[in-house]
Amino acid sequence: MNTRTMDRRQFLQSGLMAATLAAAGKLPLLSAETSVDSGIDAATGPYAVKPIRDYLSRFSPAQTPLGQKQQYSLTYDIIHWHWKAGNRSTFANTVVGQIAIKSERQNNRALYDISQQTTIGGVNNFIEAQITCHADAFGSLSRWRLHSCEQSLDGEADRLSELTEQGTCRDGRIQVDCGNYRYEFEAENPVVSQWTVLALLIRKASPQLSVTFDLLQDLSLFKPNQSLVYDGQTPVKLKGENTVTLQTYAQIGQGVLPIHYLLDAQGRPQLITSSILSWALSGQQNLA
Amino acid sequence: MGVQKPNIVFVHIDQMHHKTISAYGCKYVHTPNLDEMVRDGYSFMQSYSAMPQCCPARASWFTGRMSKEHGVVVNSYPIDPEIPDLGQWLRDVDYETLYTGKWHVSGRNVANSFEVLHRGSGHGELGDSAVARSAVAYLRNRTGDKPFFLSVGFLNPHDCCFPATSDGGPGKYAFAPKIMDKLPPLPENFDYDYKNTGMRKIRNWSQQDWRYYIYSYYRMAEMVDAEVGRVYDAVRNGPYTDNTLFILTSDHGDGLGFHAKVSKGYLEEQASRVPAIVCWPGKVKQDFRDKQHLVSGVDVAATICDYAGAPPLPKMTIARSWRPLLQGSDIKWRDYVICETSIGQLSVCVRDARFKSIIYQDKTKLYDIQNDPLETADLADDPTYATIKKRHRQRFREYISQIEIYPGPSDINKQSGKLKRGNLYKAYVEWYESVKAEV
Repeated sequence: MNTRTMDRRQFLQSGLMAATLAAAGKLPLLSAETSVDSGIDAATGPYAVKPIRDYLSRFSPAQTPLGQKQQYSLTYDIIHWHWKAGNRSTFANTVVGQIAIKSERQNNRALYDISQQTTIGGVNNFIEAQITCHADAFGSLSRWRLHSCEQSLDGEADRLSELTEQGTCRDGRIQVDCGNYRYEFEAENPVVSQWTVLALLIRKASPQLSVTFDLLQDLSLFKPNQSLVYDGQTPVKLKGENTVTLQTYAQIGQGVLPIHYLLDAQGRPQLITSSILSWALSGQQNLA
Repeated sequence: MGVQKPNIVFVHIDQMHHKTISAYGCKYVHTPNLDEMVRDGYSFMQSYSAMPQCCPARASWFTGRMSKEHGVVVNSYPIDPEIPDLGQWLRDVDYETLYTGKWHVSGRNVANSFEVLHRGSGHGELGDSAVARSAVAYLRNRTGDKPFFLSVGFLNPHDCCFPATSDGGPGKYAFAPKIMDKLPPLPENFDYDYKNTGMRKIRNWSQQDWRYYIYSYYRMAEMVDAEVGRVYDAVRNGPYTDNTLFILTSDHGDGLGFHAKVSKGYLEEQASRVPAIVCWPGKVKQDFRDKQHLVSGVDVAATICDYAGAPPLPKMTIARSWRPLLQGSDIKWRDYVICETSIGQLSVCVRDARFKSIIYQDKTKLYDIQNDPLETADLADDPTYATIKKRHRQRFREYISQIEIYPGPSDINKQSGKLKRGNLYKAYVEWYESVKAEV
C-alpha cells in the first residue's frame, strides 16, 4: 500500500465520519485547522504536529496492518525539539531514543513489557518495566516493576544510578516501594501510564471518546485529572510532499502540556506530540 | 562523640515565578508536592534572586557573593577562578558533595567541585525525570558514613523560554480556542501603561496567545513539582529523614504576563522575587510564612556553611545565614536587600520593608510594594517620597562600599572579543565607583 492510496481511503472515511457526526450534531466546533485565531501559529501548520515539523519531512507511517488489538509490539522514536546549533531562530528535531511497548493478553488482563532508552547529556538512560493491568474498561494499572539505570557512552553501567521500584494500584491507592522507602498516591480516576494509554486509544478511539483518568508517568509521577477527547482530523505533510490525514485526540491535565495522539485509519497511534518531546511510530510487530 | 553533621539537599528549580505555588493561593496551578513542603517547612515570602538570570544567580548560591563580586554579571561571563564554591568548600569539612542536573555556573566545570550524578539536559521535559531519578537512586544506593551535600538542579519551568519565541517554538498556541475555559486570566497589571516609564509591550501576541503562554507555564511548573516530590519523598520517607536539611529555591522568576512581560533579567517582582522554602521537621519551624525578613539567593551559601559546620566562604560580604530565623531566634536582620542586573541597562534594586527602588544609571523608579505589590505606580517623581528615594540611594552607596567589586580578569583584553555584551566589567566598575563617590 502506498501513501497516496491510504490518503484517498482515509479521505473517504473522514468524509463519512464528518457527515455522521454532523447529522448527530456532534461535530466538534473546530475540528479542522483551517481557521487559526492566534498571532503566533498562523504560519506554522497544524498545532498537533507543530513540535515535529522538521522530523515529519523524514517520516513514513508504518503500514503493516495491526493484528489482534492487544497483542502487538510497537516501537517509537523519541523526538526532541531543539534550536539548530548556532541559530536560535530556527529549530530542528533529533531522535534521542526509542521506546518499545509490547502488549499481550493473559487471562483477560493486559501485560506489558516496556523498554526505553534515551540519550540525555551524553548519557544513555534505560527504563525497563513489566506491567500488569486490571481487566477493566481502561486497562488500568494493577501492579508493576520498574528498573532504571544509566550507562555511559563507553558502555559501563553506573551502579549508583540503578533503581528498582515495585508498585501496586488497588481501589485508587497507589503504593510504590523503592527498597528503603515507600511513597503513595490517592487516585480518584482509573490510573494509566503514558505507555498503556495507547492501548486505550487503540481499543476505544472514536469521535465520541471523552474520558478522564489519572496518569502515573514513568510509573512514578502522579498527574491526576487528565482529560482525553477527540480533537478532529489533522492533515500531516510527510516525506515526499505526501499528506496523510490522521484522527487526532487531545489530552490535557495537571502536569502535562497538551498531548496529541494522531491515529491512522486502523486506530494505531502513529504520532504522539507534546512539546519538547514527541514520539513517532518506527516499528511494529504483531504477536501471535 | 561529636554532634552528627546534617545531610543537606539543595533543590533548585529554574525560572519559577514566586506566586506559582498553589499553597500560596495561586488558583491556576496544582503543586501538591511544593504545597507539602510549604506545610512541612519555613517559607520566605520576601526572597529575592541576587541577580535574575541563570548563571549570575547560580554563582551567587554557590559562592555567597554578589554578581559584581564573582564576575558572572551575565550568562556568558566566567566566574572569577580564584573563588571557591560550596562543592569544594564542603569537601574540605568531610562532606560527600554530589551534583545532578543543571549547573550553569559559567567558567567552572562542575566536576571539579562535585561528583556528578547526571548532567541533565537544556530542556526540562527531556532531562528533569532523569535528574530526579539519579538523585533518588543515589539516596537508595549510597554507602558510607559521611554526611552528604546533594545539589539537584531542575530545568522546568524554564522550558517556557521556547514557546516565548516569535513563532511560539514548540508551543501549540492554535490549540488555545479548544481550551478557553482552562486558560488563566491575564495578570491584573498586564495592561499597566508603560508610557510614563519609557517601556512598551514588546510582543505582538493576542490576549489569547498570552493566556495560552501562562497556561503552559503553569503546566511546566506542575511538571517540576512532580519531580521535586520524588526527591522530597525519598528524603522524607527514607532513612535520612531525621538528619537532612532540605532547601528549595529558584534562580529567578518569569514574566508570566505581569507587566506584559516574559522571561527574566529585569528587576520587577515577577523576575527578581523567588520562592524559598526550607524543611527539616523538628528542627525548622513548620508551616510558617515569613513575610518580614528580606532574604537573598546569596544567603544560600552562608546558610549551608552554617548548618554544615563549615567556616563561612571567604569574603561573603552580604550573605547571611538563615539558620537563626529558621530556628525562631529573635535577631537583628538586614533592613534592605539588594538585587542587581546587567541585562539591558545596568540597574540595581533596593528593597526595604515597604518600598522598592529600581535604580538605573539615568533614572530611578520607586514603588510602594506593601500597598502596590504589582508595581503599577511609579512614585519616584512624587515629592512626598523624596526622602525614601534619597534613602535608597544611600543604601545603594552603602552596598557598594561593602562589596569587593570584581574588576574583571587580568587578561581582559584577550577575552574582550569573546564577551557578548561588550566590556560590562568596565561599565559597572565605572558606575559603581561614581555612585560611591557621591556625597
